[in-house]
Amino acid sequence: MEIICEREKLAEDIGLVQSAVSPRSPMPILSNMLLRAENGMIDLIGTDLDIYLWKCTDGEIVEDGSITVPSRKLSEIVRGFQSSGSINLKTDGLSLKISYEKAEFRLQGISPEEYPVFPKIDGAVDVEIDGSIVKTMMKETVFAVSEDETRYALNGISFQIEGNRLVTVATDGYMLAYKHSDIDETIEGIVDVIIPTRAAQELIKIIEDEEKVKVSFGEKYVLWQMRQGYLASRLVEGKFPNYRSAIPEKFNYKLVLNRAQFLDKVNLVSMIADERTNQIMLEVAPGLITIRAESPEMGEGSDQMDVEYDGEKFTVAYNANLLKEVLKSFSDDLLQYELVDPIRHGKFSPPGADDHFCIIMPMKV
Amino acid sequence: MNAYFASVEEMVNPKIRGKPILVTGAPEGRSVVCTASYPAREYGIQSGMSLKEALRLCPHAVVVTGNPSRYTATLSQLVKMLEGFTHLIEIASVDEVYMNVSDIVGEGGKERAKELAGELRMAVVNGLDLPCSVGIAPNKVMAKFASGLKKPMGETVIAHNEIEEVLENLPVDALPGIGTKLAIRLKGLGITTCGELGRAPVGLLKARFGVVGIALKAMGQGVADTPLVPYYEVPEAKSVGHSVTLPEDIYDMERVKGVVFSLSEKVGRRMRRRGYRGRRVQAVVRRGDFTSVVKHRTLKRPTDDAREIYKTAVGLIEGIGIDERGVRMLGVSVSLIEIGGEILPLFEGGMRERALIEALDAVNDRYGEFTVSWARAYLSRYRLWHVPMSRRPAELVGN
Repeated sequence: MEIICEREKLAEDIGLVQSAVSPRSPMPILSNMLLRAENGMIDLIGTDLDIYLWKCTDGEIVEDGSITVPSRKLSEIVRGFQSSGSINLKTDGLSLKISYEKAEFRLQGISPEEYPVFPKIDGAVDVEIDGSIVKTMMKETVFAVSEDETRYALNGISFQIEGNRLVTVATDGYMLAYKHSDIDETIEGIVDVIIPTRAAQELIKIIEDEEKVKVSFGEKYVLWQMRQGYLASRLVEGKFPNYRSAIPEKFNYKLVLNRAQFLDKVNLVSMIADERTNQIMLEVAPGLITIRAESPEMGEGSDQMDVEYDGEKFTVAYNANLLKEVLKSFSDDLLQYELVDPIRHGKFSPPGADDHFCIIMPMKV
Repeated sequence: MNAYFASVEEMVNPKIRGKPILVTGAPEGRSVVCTASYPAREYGIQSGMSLKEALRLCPHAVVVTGNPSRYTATLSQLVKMLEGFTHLIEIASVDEVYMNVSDIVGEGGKERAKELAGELRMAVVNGLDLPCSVGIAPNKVMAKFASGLKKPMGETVIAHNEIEEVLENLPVDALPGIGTKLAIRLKGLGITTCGELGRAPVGLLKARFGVVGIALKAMGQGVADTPLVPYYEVPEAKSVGHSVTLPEDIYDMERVKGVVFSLSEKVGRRMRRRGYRGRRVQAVVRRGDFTSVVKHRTLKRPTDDAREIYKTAVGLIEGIGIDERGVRMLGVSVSLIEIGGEILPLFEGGMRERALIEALDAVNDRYGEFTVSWARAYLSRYRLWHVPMSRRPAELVGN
């Protein structure tokens, strides 16, 4: 294989594909990136077996062929050349010669035959979605996923399409984020899969707002075709819990507050919260909320702000970090906060909206 | 306490009284001697020696598998009894307590202290039928040193004005807290006796040992101001962990997993009993060639659930990797401990899981550890927890 590429574009594309390569893999081949020149295309492919990233980069093919080389080193070298100009990549047996101006590097590679094959998505449901929609939906839910490996089905975003309604839900068993949107296309049947957290995080980085993303759902994999490249992701196996049953129909308390102001005050007061429990108390009275925290070693603190509320007084305890994550996931100025009771579900949502909400559980006091 | 584990075994089984007794970790495999009774020590047997070696020195020794719960129960009895003298008791280890007897000695001076030492020792002999040594001195370091001077069954009192004389020609490693390695490093500075240590310039010690240098100088002078921490004020644990040296090296990940599960369950049980939950899980693997690898992972939310501890620990161990060197020792611990601050579960299933764990705990509290556990715990060939034979499910006996 011999190819000639523009350094800056190549560095950018290698950087993108590298994010799929696991930094410390037990299998050396998985630390490598596949470079392939074939049928007039130059492909860069990286994978950790959970997600695969495939990017066609620009350049001139002198000779077809392929090789895999350590991804991080390749990326560092190509970035390290700094100025803009042409870079020449040429295989020599199982090594790759990289020439740029007067600089020359030789990277030891591994045979491309050993590289995992980019998954084929068959029997797929295809759908085209606006980049801005899918990106926003993932952003507004991914923070709530679980990192608990014992609850595998929660290690991703539940991604469902029925008709033209797309629903994303994520939960860690203590909070839950929900968002739905209507898409242009109407599909037959139902899509109901779990997108792994890492794939969602990569997609948020790669998808551009103005583009249309083509998504193909296979049995084990889902393929995202974007302007920047292709991402195939293994789907999380397992059954996402029936989240609808955990969303209360009736709330006994309801108030409206300024999100940014509330978040600032929660940030402020939580500085004195017990470091081990992160507990803060919300004391709600008509027109006023008091945010209070104390730690046996440090002391205590409180702050107040006006809210729209005319119900009975109540006090509820939250984990400050959980509450902050929930508040940060919204971009709205005002939020409606509803609560069943101080030991049950609380709900944040933009006032009057039913397409976006977060459920948050209180702490046992 | 003198040869504590062995003495306790003698107390409960008078038939073996006076015989050379070896208390070990496990009956088979490559066990080591935890405690040798004084008659056994006459054969040159020391704690830490392999059982095989010990039996070569004294083939007719009585070998007893240790009963940790018996030793802690006896310790509780001891403390309860000593409370007749003072409440200011610190439990330093399973066989060692400190007491603040300033008020009892009062103005009585050395004579009163000598009397008291005798009273204390006799109280232990009469009340528990166990031998011990008593040391009384102005501070903890000197008291521990004093208690070690006459063993077994001795009483030593070191008064304020005697400290200097006692320490002057005493080798540094005779002091509790200064081991062989530290002694060698001190020798490098020309310091071999406590007297020399006490006179050494603090700057020199600080340059060589950091802040420890200051403490070392104080030790050499027989000054120590570490306060006594009464047992009822024991600070909260920073971590909860368990480890086990396996009877034989294992090479198989499935068996490693079984052991790790048992350890995780023990850790989880202990945490739940104290109301702890922790965010950092640490795994230790010591290989057959004695090299050790430690790895940890921090979870987003604290846990006290054995299965989550297990999954995290196994993930770490898979990262460490099991190779042809085999595994000699495994350890699991949880740190970044939180107390209280539990977030209520969002799903009903979460509440049921919690209720299940609570139910398992209740059964095990009543009928003994591992009466009911996750099936995975039984994959471990080793019983890491003492379960009375009568309470073991028949099919597992002899496993």
